[in-house]
Amino acid sequence: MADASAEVERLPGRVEAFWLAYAQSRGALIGLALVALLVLVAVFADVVSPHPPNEQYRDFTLTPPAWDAGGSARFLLGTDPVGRDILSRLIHGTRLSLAIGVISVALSLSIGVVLGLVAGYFRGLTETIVMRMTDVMLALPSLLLAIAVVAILGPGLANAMYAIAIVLLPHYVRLTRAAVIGEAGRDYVTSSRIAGAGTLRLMFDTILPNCAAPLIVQATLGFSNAILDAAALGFLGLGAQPPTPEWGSMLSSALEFIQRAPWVVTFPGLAILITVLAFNLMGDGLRDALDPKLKR
Amino acid sequence: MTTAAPLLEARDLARHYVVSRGLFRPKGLVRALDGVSFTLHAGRTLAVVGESGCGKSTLARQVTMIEAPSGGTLWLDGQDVAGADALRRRRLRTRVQMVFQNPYASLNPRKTVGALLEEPLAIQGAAPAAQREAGLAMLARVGLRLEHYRRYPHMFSGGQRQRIAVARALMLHPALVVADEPVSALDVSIQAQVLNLLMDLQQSLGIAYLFISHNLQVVRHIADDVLVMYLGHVVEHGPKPQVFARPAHPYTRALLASTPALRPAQRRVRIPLTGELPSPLDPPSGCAFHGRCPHAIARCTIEVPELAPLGGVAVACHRAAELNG
Amino acid sequence: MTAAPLLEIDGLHVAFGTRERPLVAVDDVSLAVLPGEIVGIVGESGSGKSVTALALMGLVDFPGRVSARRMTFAGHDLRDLSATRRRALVGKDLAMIFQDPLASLDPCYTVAHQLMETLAVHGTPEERSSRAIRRARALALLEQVEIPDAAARLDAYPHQLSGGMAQRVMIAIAIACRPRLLIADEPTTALDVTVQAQVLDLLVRLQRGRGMALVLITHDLAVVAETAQRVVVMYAGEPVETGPVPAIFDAPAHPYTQALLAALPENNEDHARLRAIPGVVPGLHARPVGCRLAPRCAYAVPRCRVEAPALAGPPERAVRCHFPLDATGAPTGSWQAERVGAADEAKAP
Repeated sequence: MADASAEVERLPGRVEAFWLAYAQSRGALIGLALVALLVLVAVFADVVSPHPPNEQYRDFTLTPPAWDAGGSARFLLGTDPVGRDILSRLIHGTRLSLAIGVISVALSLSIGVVLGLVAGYFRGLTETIVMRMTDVMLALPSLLLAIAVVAILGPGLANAMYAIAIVLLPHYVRLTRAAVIGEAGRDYVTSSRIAGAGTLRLMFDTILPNCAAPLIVQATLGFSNAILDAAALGFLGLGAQPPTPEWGSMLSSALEFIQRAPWVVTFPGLAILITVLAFNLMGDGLRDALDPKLKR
Repeated sequence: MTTAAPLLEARDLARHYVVSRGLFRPKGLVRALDGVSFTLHAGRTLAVVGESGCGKSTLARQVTMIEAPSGGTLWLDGQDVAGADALRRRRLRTRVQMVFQNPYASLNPRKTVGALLEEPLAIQGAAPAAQREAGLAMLARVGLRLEHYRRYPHMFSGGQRQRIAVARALMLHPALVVADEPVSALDVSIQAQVLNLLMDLQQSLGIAYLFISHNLQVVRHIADDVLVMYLGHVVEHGPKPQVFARPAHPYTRALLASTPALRPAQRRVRIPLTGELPSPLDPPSGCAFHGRCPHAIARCTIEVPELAPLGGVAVACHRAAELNG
Repeated sequence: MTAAPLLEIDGLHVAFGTRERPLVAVDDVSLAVLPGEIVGIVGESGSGKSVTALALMGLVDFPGRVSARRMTFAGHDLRDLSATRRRALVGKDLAMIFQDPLASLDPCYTVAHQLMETLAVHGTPEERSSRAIRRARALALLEQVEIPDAAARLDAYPHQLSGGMAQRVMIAIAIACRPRLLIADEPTTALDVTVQAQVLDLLVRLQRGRGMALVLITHDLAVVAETAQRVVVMYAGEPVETGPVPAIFDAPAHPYTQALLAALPENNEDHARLRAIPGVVPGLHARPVGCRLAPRCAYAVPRCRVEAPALAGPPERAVRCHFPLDATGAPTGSWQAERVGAADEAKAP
């Protein structure tokens, strides 16, 4: 029976092949580098940050950035109306923003994937109920929905995260359901069914791993959505409460100074911009790298 | 003909699907299988032959218990499959497995070869060490090497994937393997390798095959008995030598005549079939084949022919006796 | 061969990949097709048969690179055609049909539209000017390809057609402008057996009726045996044998052709183990030095593994082998001596 033992082609392993495809796009690499930088900053915030974020330097309120006249090298990006170093607050804010992104997306993804799996696998009445509920959630403007949830639960960072998770939920449900319907009819699923696999194994062990690619992409993009939503809620005073150095609430508390001391508003805004851009670039790169492979 | 009880027996097996045809129209009924009867004994190969829409894939789904029949009976290993509850069906799963047509779609791309081979055993509750041992043994049996155990399917060629699929199907030591066009997607030289593997395994393990194929040359080589289907009905059923040498049903004759042959000596006179395959939603009255049959008479448009014995085969044709002298 | 060939290819070479590390899909294909002749190109996957056809039609896009010592059709040099001149030729005098008819027809347009489109571009002056004439011609074409109820089918969309019907429509589109050469790439592989027979018969009938040359590309040896007059057998990107049908199948000169025939179920005893060819076709990346078949060839001797054989013999009966097989199927030339020599070496201490 040795006539089959021909060499298996030395194709690159899955991780290697994925990296080769991902690295094709310069934007994707930039995004990845930025995200990595942000993660490092968040993890080592205590070390990197020149000052404690909530320390108020009463003698140095509204100091301009170091390169401006009147600025000081001690406060590289200036200080806010209460004398807190903006750079330090931004650095600690990174930790918060990433945490918001991770927790909201993780919560939303885990619930959304299960709902989508159930809807796509069982079809029929179950699917109708789940998808119509999803449609209702999608019909409401996401920010208003978030505000409504926070209004019910009360302001605060934790509740803001739950609200964002709820807002992101319908997207994952729809995506998962579509992917599951596409995969459920394939031969390898039938093969597992014939081998005796039960419903749970079919759903989670057989089908779900093959739906991962679009979900990974959407999760990455969901990060940036979550950060923006958190910033919006913070801006409205419904998210992080003072003195938490969350970028959105930093924006809101400094709005009246936009003419006098623009740096108080600009830098938190830039931080949000860069972070969202980084995650979007990474998400685009992931999509390009994963999708063609999926459509092999 | 053996006198032992058949491994697989179908009697008047039927499978109908209800399809919606739009909001305001009455629902349609697709008769994918109707009145299908046959037997298959252990260690033998029954080839199911037919073209698109004949119901061979539906039959495969019935036999592998993915769907329950709408009517008729199906007996596997002496047990009633049609009326089986979930527990009985789960136990019967170890008796019948399947090999699919498309080697590029039938293996889970996210699992290694080893995981694919061990999965059936894991589902049945075997210990991990036993699973691995059995998986490695089966891999060697189908002619692949140890280092292939940890690779992913996309690294293998079509022929190798089909070997993996066969290995996976054998992990539970089934008595019956349904092979749905297992070599149709493969090159000629690889076809030969995989067919040899299937035949060797049948010899050493005593497996019975329900071999679905549209390639009559392959069927002629590997089958013991042949079941010819048309639009969900069995039109002819009998031992392979006889069906090929003296086809009794006009459709079987047309099929054999349409098969290209290398040698002029083996070629038959073409029997042109008029018309197109009828839609399964709107099957013709009487004999499903009457619209295209060169020998149709008035009776064929009214009365559905029964599968009746004639010589050594069973034929469903009103004029079978007179056409075969 | 007294008539001038309609299609002449010499040394066709198609490569993909980079210039430093080219992946050669087709290597040194030479073929001459006379007007009205049926030539079959036979091979398994990876043999380069489809790429050859695409190169002829100018359908090999960047990064593929096509080169040839000679590639002429009806006097036109196909190698350096400008896009305009190629469009004037392809679809009119030189047409092609593909394997999957439902994928080759545009799902957004009706059958009539697609037929009339061809006529509007390549048709006669009357066809190009009048829509009514085009529609009448479209109907006539559908009847010629034996589509039942042609008038109703004119306004059907491709998804409403069966595989066999769609393939007939494809043929109708291809022959609409009376091509002199039709290339058919696996035209019946996706079809049922009875439909396959009908479509092949149709192709041969049309070919004979119009004096059209037909190049039939397939992996099915039986189809070629029944339809073609001459055959080119390809393996791993190269032609390995050319010859007339049925002589090439009765007495193959190349070990690959012999092995391929031996692997067919119809050439093996009932229920016996098939005489399979061991190994697999080498991929683009893994072509062996020397003869490409050597790792799998039952007759390989050391010379085969180092020296690549050239295509030798007259164009009608050429073989690419150091030791072509004779009429009894045994290798000729110094094969015996070299085999004994190799065995002795293996036994030496």
